[in-house]
Amino acid sequence: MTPGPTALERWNPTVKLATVLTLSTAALLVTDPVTPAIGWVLALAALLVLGRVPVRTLALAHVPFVVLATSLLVVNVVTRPGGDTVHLGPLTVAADGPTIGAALALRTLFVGAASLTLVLTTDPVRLMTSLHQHVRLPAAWTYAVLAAHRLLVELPDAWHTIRCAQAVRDPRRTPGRLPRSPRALGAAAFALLVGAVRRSERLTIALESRGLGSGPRTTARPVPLGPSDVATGVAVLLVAAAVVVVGLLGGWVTGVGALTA
Amino acid sequence: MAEQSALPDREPDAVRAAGLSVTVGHHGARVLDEVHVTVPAGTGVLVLGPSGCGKSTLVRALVGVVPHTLPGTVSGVLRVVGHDPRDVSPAELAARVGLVQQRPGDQLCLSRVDDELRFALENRGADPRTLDSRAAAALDAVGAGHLHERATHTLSGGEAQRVALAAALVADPDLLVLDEPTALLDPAAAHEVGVLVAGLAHAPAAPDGGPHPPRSTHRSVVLVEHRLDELGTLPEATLALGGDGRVVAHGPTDRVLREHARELVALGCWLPLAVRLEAAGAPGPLGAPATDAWLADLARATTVGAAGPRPSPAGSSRAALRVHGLDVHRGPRRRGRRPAAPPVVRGVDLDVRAGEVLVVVGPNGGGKSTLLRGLAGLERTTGEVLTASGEPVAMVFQDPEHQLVASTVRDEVAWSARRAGVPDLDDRVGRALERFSLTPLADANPYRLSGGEQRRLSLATATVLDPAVLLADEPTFGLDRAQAAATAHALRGRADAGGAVVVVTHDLSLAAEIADRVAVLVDGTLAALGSPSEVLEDDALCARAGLRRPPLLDWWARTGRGRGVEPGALVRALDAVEFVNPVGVRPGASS
Repeated sequence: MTPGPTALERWNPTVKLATVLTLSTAALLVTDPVTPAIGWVLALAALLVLGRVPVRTLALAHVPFVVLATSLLVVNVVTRPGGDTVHLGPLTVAADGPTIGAALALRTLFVGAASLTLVLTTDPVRLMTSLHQHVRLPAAWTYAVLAAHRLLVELPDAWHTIRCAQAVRDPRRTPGRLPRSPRALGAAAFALLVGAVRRSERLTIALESRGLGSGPRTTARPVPLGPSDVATGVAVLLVAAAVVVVGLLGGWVTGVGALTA
Repeated sequence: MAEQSALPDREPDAVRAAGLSVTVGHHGARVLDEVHVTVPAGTGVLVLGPSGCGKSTLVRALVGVVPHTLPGTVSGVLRVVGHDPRDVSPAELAARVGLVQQRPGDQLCLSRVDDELRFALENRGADPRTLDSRAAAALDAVGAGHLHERATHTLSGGEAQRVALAAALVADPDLLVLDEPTALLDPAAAHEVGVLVAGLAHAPAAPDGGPHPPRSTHRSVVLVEHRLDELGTLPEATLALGGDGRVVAHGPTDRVLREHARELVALGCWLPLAVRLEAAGAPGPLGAPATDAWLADLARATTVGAAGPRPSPAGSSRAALRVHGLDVHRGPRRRGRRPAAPPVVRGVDLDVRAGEVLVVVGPNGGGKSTLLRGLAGLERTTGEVLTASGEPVAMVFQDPEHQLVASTVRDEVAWSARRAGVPDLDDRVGRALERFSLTPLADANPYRLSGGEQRRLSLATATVLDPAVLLADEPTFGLDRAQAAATAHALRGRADAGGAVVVVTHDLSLAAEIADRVAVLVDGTLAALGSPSEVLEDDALCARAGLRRPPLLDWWARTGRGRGVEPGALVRALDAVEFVNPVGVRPGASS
């Protein structure tokens, strides 16, 4: 009925997590705009082709990263000194600003897209099972995280209900509009927090009543970790290295030093 | 039992408690006091008592959550399937003791149903090759086989409770402990889950045909429940607890319910209809001609009796709330530019008159709560909602904690009045506190109140300004009988004082008791609007709207109606014969 899991979904989640973390850390050492741009395009291609993520989902998931990237770009363009002066329409800015700003912005997009390969193509249960199996993360931790994840899914609904429930108490409210004052939002956040604490108490009891932590456990769906999973990780890192080497040969890669220059 | 030592081969009792006292919290509030109870292996016990009597605490002590997971102390003798829960961890005890909690959504830990069931088996180190078949068998055994691939957050309350039951049964425990498994379900789901649960107490263990050999004995069950009419067959023994956490009665169910009927009603417990009738002095069981006549006389006498004829709302035909062509959308506004989802409630025309209680009933997901929010101007609406006075309506939400904004009960009640800038603030707040018996709690933190106290607080906050229109969403959900009666009394009282009241509920007895008119909402549209009798006598309508008449109203529809009995009068008459404190103040039961 539904197509089978995609290549990105099949990839062992622990290896995937390690690869994404390595790439994201490595990206911090590069300060030119071209290298993260190539990385970002490759990550997008992987998400679309190997992960079969719908374009619309991908675009929506990018919103927070685009906002952050844009603000990084603007801040650097406006405030960073150094280099020749450049005229951008009515503005006159230092040339280093747009370059570094673009680099930081593209780096944000690249790290964002890399983390999306984790978020959009990994089943949380599989990730936690794999972390328990392959890096010996205690089961009590992994399942507490999963239970918390379940709680998170229902928070938006609870938030809306609480805002309605508190708004209706104001005799001077405007019908059809929920209050957005910091005080109103604070009161709603407090009620949400109390509810979440109460729920997590009940979930803790439920986790125990399912026998979590009673002794050695078995795994219904062991997550395979084979040579191909590791090979995939190595291949991804080799591609990344190749991008950097090409950049070094082409002369456009710069290191952390450029930030303070 | 005395002969226990003479039978060395016998399985240990499922539960044996002697002088069991339990305190909870860091301050050591005593909740259970010197409880003695024995549940022989393979039998069931029903635990009854008003809210705050320590039923849930008993459950938590049995499964070891107190004192291991939550703060508290357990003293006295306590053995559960041969173990002392204080000496083993709750997770270890869980291998032999299954637990089902009250809230359907808060006891499923994982995001998919089959993951949840496999999780319970994995933790016990079950053979991975058998997990899928055992999980499927456990789901089938509770009639939930079709749910195995569903996401847990999309399950209805009844479905979630079935899955929780399957997850508790999948490891084939010796003892199953259930804490009000139907309390938060609508009547149809409560009936289904109730019958399922009652069946467990009578069925042999391991009914799932799993690979493990069935045991010779039956499974033991400790069932905390107050909706006894939903259960069908009750467990053979009953333990009744009083408001002070002491044992009121313990013994065979039939004897405890009959001999202590009045006491249990006074404590705020619901009883099965047969027991209520007997306690009220009926000449025989329901269906006997003499009983039918007696009940009809009782109801007719009440119509003109103490309750008095209600001033006809048609007499004061001023519409306090006028609704025309109302559509209501659900959820936050302006979410992207996606094509707008169709409205949840469509084309509702409705007038609610001053002095009238309008009760809205209908199936889950039919749009009842959304309609109320639409009337309150909290969701996106099109069409017309007008109040006669022009001022916004007041509303009581299902969960009182969602509405709390202040740090003391007094400030909570005063909050709306301050915003409105009324001149007689202190007087008003004092009167509202007094009306809902909250004066002694005026300085308490609202979050620390019990469920019943929080409900009274939410009613006090919603009525402090004497609103022309009061809306209430499932105001009796999860309350015990005395608290529910007090809530019904308050809502009716608001209407009798000249307000217009709209109540959403699943409880048809409540509808019959307080409603002047009943609206039936199915699939977001108004399917019917009429007097309680017109709605309750319509079998086709009841079936279409998932309205399951409780036994008393079922008798009315089949027999009482033909004898000129009004459903509301019938419900009120039987309530009046039993003793129920009308304001629901039960001193000493506030914990």
